[in-house]
Amino acid sequence: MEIESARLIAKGMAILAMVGTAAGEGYIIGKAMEAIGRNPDVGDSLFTKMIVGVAMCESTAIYAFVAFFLM
Amino acid sequence: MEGLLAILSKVGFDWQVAFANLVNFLIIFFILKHLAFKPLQKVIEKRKSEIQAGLDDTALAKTNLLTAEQKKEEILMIARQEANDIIAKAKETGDSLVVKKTEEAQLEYNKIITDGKKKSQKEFERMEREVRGQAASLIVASVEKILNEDLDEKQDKKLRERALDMMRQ
Amino acid sequence: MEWFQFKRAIPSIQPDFIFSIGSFQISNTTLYLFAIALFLFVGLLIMRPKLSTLPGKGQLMLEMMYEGVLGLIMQITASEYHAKKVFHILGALFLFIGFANFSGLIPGLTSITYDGISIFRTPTADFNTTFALAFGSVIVLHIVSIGDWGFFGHLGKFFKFKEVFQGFKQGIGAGFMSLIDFFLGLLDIVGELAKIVSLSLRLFGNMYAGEVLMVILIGSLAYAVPSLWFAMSMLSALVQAIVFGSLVTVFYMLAIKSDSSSEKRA
Repeated sequence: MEIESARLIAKGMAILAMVGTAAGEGYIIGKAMEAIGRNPDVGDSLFTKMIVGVAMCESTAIYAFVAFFLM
Repeated sequence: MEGLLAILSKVGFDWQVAFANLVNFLIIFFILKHLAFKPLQKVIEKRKSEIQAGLDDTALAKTNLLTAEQKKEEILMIARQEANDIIAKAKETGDSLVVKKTEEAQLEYNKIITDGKKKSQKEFERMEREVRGQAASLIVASVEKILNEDLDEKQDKKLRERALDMMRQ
Repeated sequence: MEWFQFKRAIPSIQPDFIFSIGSFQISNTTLYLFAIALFLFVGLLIMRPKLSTLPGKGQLMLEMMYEGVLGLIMQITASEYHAKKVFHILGALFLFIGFANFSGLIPGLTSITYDGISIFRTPTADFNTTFALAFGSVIVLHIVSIGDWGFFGHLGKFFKFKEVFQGFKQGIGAGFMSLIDFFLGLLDIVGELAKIVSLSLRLFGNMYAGEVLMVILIGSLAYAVPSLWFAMSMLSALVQAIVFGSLVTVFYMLAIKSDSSSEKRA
């Protein structure tokens, strides 16, 4: 196998990080929505915390992104 | 460090550009700080204080209105009471006046009536006296006329006196 | 089959240089940032005398942004003292990133080219800008932390010799626990680097991926479909600005002393 094709395959595999990130972010947002639904009063403060959590979760996708460009 | 820079340059890192962009951001930061945030903050705070002052004024005006209304009510009450007093007094004086006047009128009426009665009594008595006198002289004259022929002076005088006495009784 | 496909080159990840002053090369993002700064400067200079307690339309919009950003910072810091303290720098970050993100969505602006290089490029779709912002923010946070804890107190956050010493004094069990804390403290140094990398790459990745996807979409189907992604880009432009600002605020709250001690000074 040529080195270039191996790199392309590796890049494709790096993209798989999206799966986990998407699932994690969806879980966070779903849980946050549930909590807001139960107690709408905390919606405002929960929203920012949710955004921060989503951002933290997204860092894994960013590592994959970096890996994608490093390959 | 070289390796790190090499890795970063894979995503397009160039320290010169990064530095230029940082400087540009700082310029934007200072522009925003001095031309947007501070004046805006001043304006917003000024408006807040103005609104607060307006609200305070409104509250003050409201209390003033309330006290004024209370005062008005008080004054009205006093005035009403006074009016009632005046009316009561007037009624009283009027009533007493009516009574007094009635009494006076009654008195006058009585007086008039008694006066009239007295007058008529007097008149009556005078007329009676007159009538009596006239009747006596008439009788004497007629008697005189009858007796004139056969009575002398003496008898005549006696008779006249007797008749007068009779009539007096 | 060519009339609905406009194939363009995928924007390069490397900065494009337009001209150079001496040895200092000026890239298109630098130029765009400078243009934004000029625009803001002139616009605000015109706006400034018009500011009054009875706001016009423009002032209302400015005030809405001001109040929105202040409210967001207040939510995270949960204290007026800290919100007022960091508002100027964080508000500038919020507004700058939001403005830069949205400026990339102005149609046709990137089509203005000079020597085959577009003069204007979305500033946040260039890694240098986001890296500069993240690096600057983290430096500022360290300065704030040093101001709050003192120089050695700040270093003590990462090198926990004192805690290890006290732990072993207490007993062997607490000593080993503090040893774990010591290594975790060393890991925090890596964490600080990761902060810079994750902050900058998150913003850059989102904006760059948005641009690349837009080019690809226009290359495959130029009508109707990119509009969906355009709307999505507007949303993500706003969300990324909020995320960047919120994260820096959260890091700020982590860097300073806890609320009970700072409330006294407030």
